[in-house]
Amino acid sequence: MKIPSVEAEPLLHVEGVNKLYGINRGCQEIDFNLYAGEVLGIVGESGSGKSTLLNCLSGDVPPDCGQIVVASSVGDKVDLYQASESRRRLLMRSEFGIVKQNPRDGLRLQVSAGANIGERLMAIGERHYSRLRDVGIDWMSQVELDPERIDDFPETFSGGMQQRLQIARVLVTQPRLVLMDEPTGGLDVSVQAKLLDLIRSLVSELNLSVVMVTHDLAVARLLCHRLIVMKKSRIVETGLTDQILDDPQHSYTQLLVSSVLTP
Amino acid sequence: MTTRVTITNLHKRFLMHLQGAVQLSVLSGLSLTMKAGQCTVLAGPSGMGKSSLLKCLYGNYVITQGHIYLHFDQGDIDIATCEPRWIHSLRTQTIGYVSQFLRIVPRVPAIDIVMEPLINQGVDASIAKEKAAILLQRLHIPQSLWQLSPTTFSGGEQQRINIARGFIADFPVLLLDEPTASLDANNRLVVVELIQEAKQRGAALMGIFHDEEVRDCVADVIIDLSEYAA
Repeated sequence: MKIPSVEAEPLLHVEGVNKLYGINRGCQEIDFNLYAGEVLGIVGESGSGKSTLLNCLSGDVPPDCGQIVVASSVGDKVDLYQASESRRRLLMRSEFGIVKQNPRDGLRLQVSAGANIGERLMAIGERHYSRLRDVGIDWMSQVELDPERIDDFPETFSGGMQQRLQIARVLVTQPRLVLMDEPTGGLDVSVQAKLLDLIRSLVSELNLSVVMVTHDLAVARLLCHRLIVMKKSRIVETGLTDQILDDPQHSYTQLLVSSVLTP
Repeated sequence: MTTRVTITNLHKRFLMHLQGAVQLSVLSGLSLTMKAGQCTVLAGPSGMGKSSLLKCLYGNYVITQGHIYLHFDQGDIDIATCEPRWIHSLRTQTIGYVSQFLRIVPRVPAIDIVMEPLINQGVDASIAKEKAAILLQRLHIPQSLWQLSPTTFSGGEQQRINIARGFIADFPVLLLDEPTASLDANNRLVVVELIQEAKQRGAALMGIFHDEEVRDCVADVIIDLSEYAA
């Protein structure tokens, strides 16, 4: 029997990360690894520190202590907050992506859909207009937006469409790591369903690694391979999604799982 | 005969924090081996821990105490202590599982569900599709249903999708939880055939079968779990 293969090195290594805004508010003692092709869910109730952690991971908020180390596409390991400002920005622009809960926070509303998609490419040096436009058209189809609307402004799109535009905007530079903050929050269920299907297929086609904050355990079950359960700034339990949901060990996880309504 | 799996002194307990910290002990000191080409059948009345044992083997349940060793050419992996990403890899490449109930991902066509284990192994989609089609035909699922999501299928049809998905990739270790429960006689026969074929290619199987006829056809070893009840 042949031993299965696993990724030897993590794509993202987080060690001893603390970022506190008060007693047990924020995140502390955060340790985890993320490997290529994995979707890691961070679940927990409001105020558990999920978004704080995501903000530290995205390079936006320096933690009080600890390390966030990323394996870059050129093969070296970059300590996100020890690196130079320009290196960090380059990583955030090309190899990382962040999909915000409210798409209006992640889009540039004053420019067209096509310009939104092209922006990250331009930031890393692409200047050829028709190439940018082709990429824009291609991505709009991939996220199931009508390419005819490439020159329309995001304001004219519905919430679900704006979210898909945000995803296209982020994925255009083929990031290896995408951070998502409640990507389906606030959307109607049928819109949510389409978006979940889209995320699911993109993750598998592009072998994306994702860290996804969600309070919705059904979304976690559908999209995430592994979960981190947070309560009052700390990780209380971690493991494979189906194990956490089917055999929760910690009292808080048991409470979360038993609180979910099934229609 | 090669031993594929060794279970040593396995204990499984549930601690229900929300119900006054009640402890429920399901398995107590179980030891057994699974050999290539053999089917180990778990017997015993309902509630003895049969499904729980399969779930421990699949990494779905946390193991309270003890070890489950998988023996590879390159060494052993202990499911009780390995990292979750190893379990994930094992499920992709080594251990197949036919669960009692099909958990349906909405909007995914039946044939895609069946193809998935091969796609996850990196097999070309067209080859995976061909193999899925062959299995679905063997299990008497009409072609008109292949592009539909199993949400509206009958229990027996859902179970056959589950079975096709479990048998499509040639896993060296295969876990079967009541695979014939909702099936008619014709389809039960197909499952027996699939099990014999798996044995012939050297897979080690563990199964729960309430159907005595099927059990008698496939069992090489029968373990009565009531001996390991807490």
